[in-house]
Amino acid sequence: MKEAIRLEQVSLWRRTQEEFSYNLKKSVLTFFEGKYRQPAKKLVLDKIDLVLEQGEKVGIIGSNGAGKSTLLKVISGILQPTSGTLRVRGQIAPLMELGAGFDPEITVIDNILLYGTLIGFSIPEMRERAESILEFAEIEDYKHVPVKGLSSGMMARLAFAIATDINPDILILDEVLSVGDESFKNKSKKRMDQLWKDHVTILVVSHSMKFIQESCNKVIWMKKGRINLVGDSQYVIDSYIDSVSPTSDDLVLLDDKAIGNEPLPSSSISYSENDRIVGDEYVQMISGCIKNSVDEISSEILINETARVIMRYKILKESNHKFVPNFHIHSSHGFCVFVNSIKEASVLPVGEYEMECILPNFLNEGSYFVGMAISSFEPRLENHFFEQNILAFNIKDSLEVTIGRPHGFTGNIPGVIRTQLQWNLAKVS
Amino acid sequence: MSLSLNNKYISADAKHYIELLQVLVSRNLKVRYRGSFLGIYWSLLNPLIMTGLYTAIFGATFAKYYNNSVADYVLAALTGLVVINFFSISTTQALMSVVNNGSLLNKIQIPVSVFPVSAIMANVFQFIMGAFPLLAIVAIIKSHSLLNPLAILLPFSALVLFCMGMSFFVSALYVFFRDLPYFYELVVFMLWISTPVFYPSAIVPPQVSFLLRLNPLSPIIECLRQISLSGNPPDLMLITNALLSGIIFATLGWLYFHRSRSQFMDLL
Repeated sequence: MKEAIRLEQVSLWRRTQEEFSYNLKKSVLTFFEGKYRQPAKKLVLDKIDLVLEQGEKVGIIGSNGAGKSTLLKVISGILQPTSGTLRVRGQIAPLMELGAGFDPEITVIDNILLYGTLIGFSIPEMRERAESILEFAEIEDYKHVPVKGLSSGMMARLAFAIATDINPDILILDEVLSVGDESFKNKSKKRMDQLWKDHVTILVVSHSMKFIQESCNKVIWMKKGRINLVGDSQYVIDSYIDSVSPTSDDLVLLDDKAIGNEPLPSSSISYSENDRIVGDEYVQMISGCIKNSVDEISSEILINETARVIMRYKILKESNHKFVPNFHIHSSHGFCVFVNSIKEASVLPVGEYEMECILPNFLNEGSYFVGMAISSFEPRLENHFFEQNILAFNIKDSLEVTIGRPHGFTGNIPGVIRTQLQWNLAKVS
Repeated sequence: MSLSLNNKYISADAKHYIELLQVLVSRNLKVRYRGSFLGIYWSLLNPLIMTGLYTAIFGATFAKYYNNSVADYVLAALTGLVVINFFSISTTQALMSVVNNGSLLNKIQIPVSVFPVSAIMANVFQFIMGAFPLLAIVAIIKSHSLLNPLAILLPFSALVLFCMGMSFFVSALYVFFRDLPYFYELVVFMLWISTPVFYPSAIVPPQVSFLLRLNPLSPIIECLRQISLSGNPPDLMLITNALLSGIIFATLGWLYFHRSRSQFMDLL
């Protein structure tokens, strides 16, 4: 195997965001007052050593700010390392987020030329490819129409067709592209599979563990600018998921062998009698699941779909406790998105209960973990059980949906939640 | 061997750079003139209207400095306005160019300098299509020679070089200081007023006139007027002067741009 990418002791310092003054007047004043100081810098990549061979498919995971995208930027030459050496063999192409580099004012054909030239093709080459791109996107008749005149579906197809019409030695992918209507989906899936050729080295940053697990044979786990762990996908992902659960310290204390053995959480879980008992002498958990809008247990929830969180539990003996079922939702980045509990609780007789919470469609795309608990608050707070991250589900965006995605925008929409708020616009005078 | 390989890569890079310029300039012009009736000739409208205004207001008073001819005043004002317009429009556009393409620069590796250069080049194209034929006709009529209209391109090159240097400087500075446009507006206005565009340089008191000579646009305008309006063969001294100051500014601007370039990405 030939070596494709080699990083030796690569470090990168960057100016921190808070230090931006951006203000000439202020800067000149502070300079004359003698208060000028060098802008603060932060170490974002810390002595990275990495060798990737040709044809390797590498996923990069880690929490926000761990340096994943920065590492990609250094490899693709966008950022120069402060120290260390970088060697790249072969032509690099980025698979940019859909719609990046587009100018809505100019025509479809001009955009094809513009985009292709920006990512490194020559103009004659792009002229040749234009027809096949138009054909793939099924918009041959719109060649000379300004891009802003296309429907959002057409725009997404065009963006996908341009972005994926590349044949690089090294493919760089920051988050995965998801596209289009049902009929186009198969086509685009096939095109993505074609990019996954044997000899092409691929680097992907993604928050979708499922995607990385399925399509990469090696995973790099970044933590605070360093490579925390490199190796076989399954092993690294398992270690990562264990560590992002909020009680990682407890987990390690409880079970040293947790790493590598624990299965990934799915959309349902049940604790049978002979299995591990979850709960105490008062209350025990039986099962939990995530259901979609048509009442099926599912880990894939569409972004416009209302889901339900369901938990079954058993009250074992009579007491004065008012049991409050509640759950915690964590994002795949490891932070808590929200906590919710039942509104009113009362003392209940012995028996089996099922709680159901309706989860409206406000979460953004991504993977989420659900932790379930039953607590009581009188006479003092007591958690009868609290199982972290026992369920997982993904929110998916089919791009057909317009929640938080109006005006034909097809790129990534940042944020933990994504919902359409009520706006008012009125002429004042 | 390694040297020839290097050369091959350099020329491939240069070719790609030119193609990048080509698509960016054409995008620039297409966005600006899409669906407009006059198209690229809009860029001529502004200097023509301004010339009309100045002539109406100052023409009669200042004609005595221009061989008692209002027509000469018109032509002098027009040449001055073409230059100052080119300068203020192209550099103001270039000022924003790096920051405006910041998100793109964060996604792909592109030579940063194509953005200010393409902003200038779009205006060069406009000049060649619009103002240049106009000035060339005037030069032919005045000098009865084909040398003068061609020689116009020399002070124009000096102008482009000067604007390029200025653009490199301000587009880099704007990355660090986002309140720069307010100050730059003032700088452009000062250059505008201190250039003898609509007034003859003879009316400026001698105590102040040395300041005018510091204005790098003055030798360019002086040279352009000599070539297109005087009817004499091009003055090599003036041309050299203009070109030299253009080259100096372009170099200084490029040095600053190049030096601060490594810090751009943290701020875009």
